[in-house]
Formats: sequence, structure tokens, C-alpha cells
Amino acid sequence: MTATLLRRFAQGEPNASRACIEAFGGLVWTLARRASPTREDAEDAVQDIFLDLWRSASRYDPTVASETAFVATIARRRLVDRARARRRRPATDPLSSEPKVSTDAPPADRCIEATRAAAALEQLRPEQREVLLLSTQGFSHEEIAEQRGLPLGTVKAHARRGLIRVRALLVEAEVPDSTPPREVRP
Amino acid sequence: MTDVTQSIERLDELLCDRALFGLDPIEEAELVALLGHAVPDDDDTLRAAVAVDLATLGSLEPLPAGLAARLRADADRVFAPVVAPPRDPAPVPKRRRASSFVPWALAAAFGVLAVFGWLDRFREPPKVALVASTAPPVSTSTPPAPPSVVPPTPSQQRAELLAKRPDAKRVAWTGTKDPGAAGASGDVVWSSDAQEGYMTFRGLRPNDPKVRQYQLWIFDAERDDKYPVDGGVFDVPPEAAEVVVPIRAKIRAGKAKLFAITVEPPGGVVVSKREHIVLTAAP
Repeated sequence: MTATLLRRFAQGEPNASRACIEAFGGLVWTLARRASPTREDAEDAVQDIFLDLWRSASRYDPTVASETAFVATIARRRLVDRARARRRRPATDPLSSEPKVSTDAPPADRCIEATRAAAALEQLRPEQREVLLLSTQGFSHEEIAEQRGLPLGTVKAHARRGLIRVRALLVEAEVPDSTPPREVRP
Repeated sequence: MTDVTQSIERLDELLCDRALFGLDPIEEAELVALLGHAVPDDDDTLRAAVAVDLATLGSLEPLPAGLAARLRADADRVFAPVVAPPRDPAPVPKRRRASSFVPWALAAAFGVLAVFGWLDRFREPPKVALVASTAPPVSTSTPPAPPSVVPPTPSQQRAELLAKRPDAKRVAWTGTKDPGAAGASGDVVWSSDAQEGYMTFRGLRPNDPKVRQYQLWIFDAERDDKYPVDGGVFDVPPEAAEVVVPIRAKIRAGKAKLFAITVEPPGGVVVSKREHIVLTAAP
């Protein structure tokens, strides 16, 4: 049973940190690779994210989110911070212009949040979906506007409306019971 | 369109931008103002963005072996077995000479400022690490218990910050003429990149949280001095020879130019009268 891995870690169980690295390393690495301009930057990001995870593990609440989503939330926050810091510095390596998203359904065993979001994305208008997916990969408004030849305001509107729609659909999909989110190791 | 509708729309815009792109300090302040409280770590909008991440990630790439080894080493370093709290676990860089410029003039100028639009309250004092005075006695008659792995203390997190963040600065506190500053010393460690920091105090008077609390303010070069960033309230327990307190900045402090500790009523304040400034530190 691995549902309480972060709890075990937070309680100081020996070897729990290694189990966390084994369980979430691939997830964090894949997220970092997708949002980082270089492999080196991705490796730095992963180390940052795990340090943040060690500090935050005690806050994990299994009734709120799956462990996978909790880890991915920490990763997103760190990756967004890094992307913003990168934009304040001269570019050293151009960002890939190709979306690095999968259009396939997520593996059924990833986590319930992923399954619900995949269904929600299907309900977005194509332009909203496209801009939202680029936005989640660390591309700035300006970069997306340039890539897609869209006015900046349109890019902002698509990203925001797409995310607001996904948010609404996810809230609707949540079952109001006390069952903890289904946890599956990535 | 009513003001309320406009506010809700703007709130949604900021929440979305925060989740997808991050916010600059001005936007952060605007968001906090609209919310009326600190932005939660895991609001529904951020969770939606994370869910999209997870839905579109495809197959996971295996963690490179070399990186995995570094992560394990990081974890081992952060969670080194603790038998007794070390007096100072930090790999301490050479202490910077305290600036001869005591920013008291700046601190004194606080008093003339009237109503500030400080936007946020966060009144739960952070946990502090007691060092030295709380070290458990070592028994010589019984075998020592096996080392236990525990979550990092603020002292360890501070050491980690200094070790990991090249931009982390360590600045000594300077006491003011306030009687409450007598005998107090220590330092503040702050990383602007990480937006993380720790305050160390020695000799700072213990406070009764029911009567008064200490509060940190961060003056940011990118913000008007009228609107310092609330760094959180905290307590100094009795008989604590040294305490290490995590900084909890409510909004981003991009270029911290002055840290100031004030004495405030329980729970801290939104608008400080700046009557009791006990310590300052200027990077």
C-alpha cells in the first residue's frame, strides 16, 4: 500500500525519501523536461522540486488530492517560478517551439485528477485547448502569440477561459463523499 | 458591468495567470487584495492546471540514474540522522562584516507614515526551532536510542538554503534603541530567488503571545516603502537561547532591502504604528 507514502515520509520513516524518489522521480522529471529549455535546467528543477517536496510533505492531505497531484502541484509552482526567472534573464537556449503534450488519454492508472482533466479538455473549443496546453508547458503569453500568430489579448483570453472551464468541469466531477482520491503510482 | 462583476472577473484572470504563468509582485498584491487573504497554495485554479499537466503528460520518462543519485544524496543531507539538535548545523560561510550604515534613520521614518494598504494577514506564528537550550540531556547509563530520521528543522532548512542557493544572503541584525532590543543578536538569511528565508535570534526577549508578538516586515526595493511585505508573526519561547524562525512572506519580495522586527499586539497587525522596532537588517 503506497497511498500514505508522503505521510510515512513526513513521519520520518527510514528510507521513505528513497521510496518517494522512486515513486515520483519519473513524474517530476517528465514535467521538468517538458517545461525546461535544456536538460541541465530540467535537472536543476527536479532537485529544487524534491527539496520543496521534503519540506512540504507533512502538509499532504489524502482527502484533498492524490499524492501524484500533490507532487505535481509542487512541481508546477517551482517550474512556473523558474520560467518567470528565466524570462528576466537573457535567453541562453531557445525554447522548443513544438508542443510536448500527449493527445492520448492519460494512462488509466495515473490518478483520478488526470482522467477527469482529460475528459474536461475534450469539452474545450479547439483554440482554447491548444493555447491552454501550450500555457501549461511553460510558454509565455508572448511566445504563444508569436508561435500561433494570435493577438496577445486573444492568447490570454483563450488560456484563461480554457482553464476556468476545466476548473468548473473538475469541480462538477468531484463526488461529494469522503472517499480519498484514488491513488495510483505513476 | 458592476464593480463586483469586474472584481470577480479580474480575480479569475489573476488566478489563471498565477496558475499558468506566475504573477509579478504588483499582480500578487492585487490578487491578495481581491481575495482579502493570502492566496492558498492549492486553490481550485492551480489544481485544474495541475490536472491538465497530468492529463497531457503521456508516458513518463525514467529518472536519469545520475540525477536519482543526486536526489538521494540531497535527501540524505537534508535528513541526516538527528540524535541531538546541533548548536549550529549550518555550513556557515564567512560572516559578512556588518554594514556600518545602521538603517535606523529609515526605520525611524516609518513613524510618520499613516495608513498603509498592507493587504494580508497571516496570524498563525510559524514553528520555531529551539537550539541549544532545548537539547535533550544525554544519558550515560542507557544505550543511546538509534538515530531517528525526522523532517528538517528550520535550522536544517536554513543550512540547506545557504548550501543550495548562491543568492542566499546572511545579514546580521542590528539592535535599535528600543529597550526590547537590548542584548539581542542573530542574523537573517534570505534567498530572493527562492523567496525563502530564516531568522536567527539570540537574546531576544521571550514574549507572551497573549500580550504581544513579534512581526517581521520586509522592505522591497521594488515596492513603495509604505507597503512593506508582511513576513509573519512569531514568538520567542522562554529560556530559548537561540531560535530559528522561517520567514513567511505573504507576497513576493523581489529585492529585499531592509528587514525589520516590530513588537505588535497578539496576532500581529495589518498597519504597524512602528512604535517598537527592535531589530533591523539591511542586506
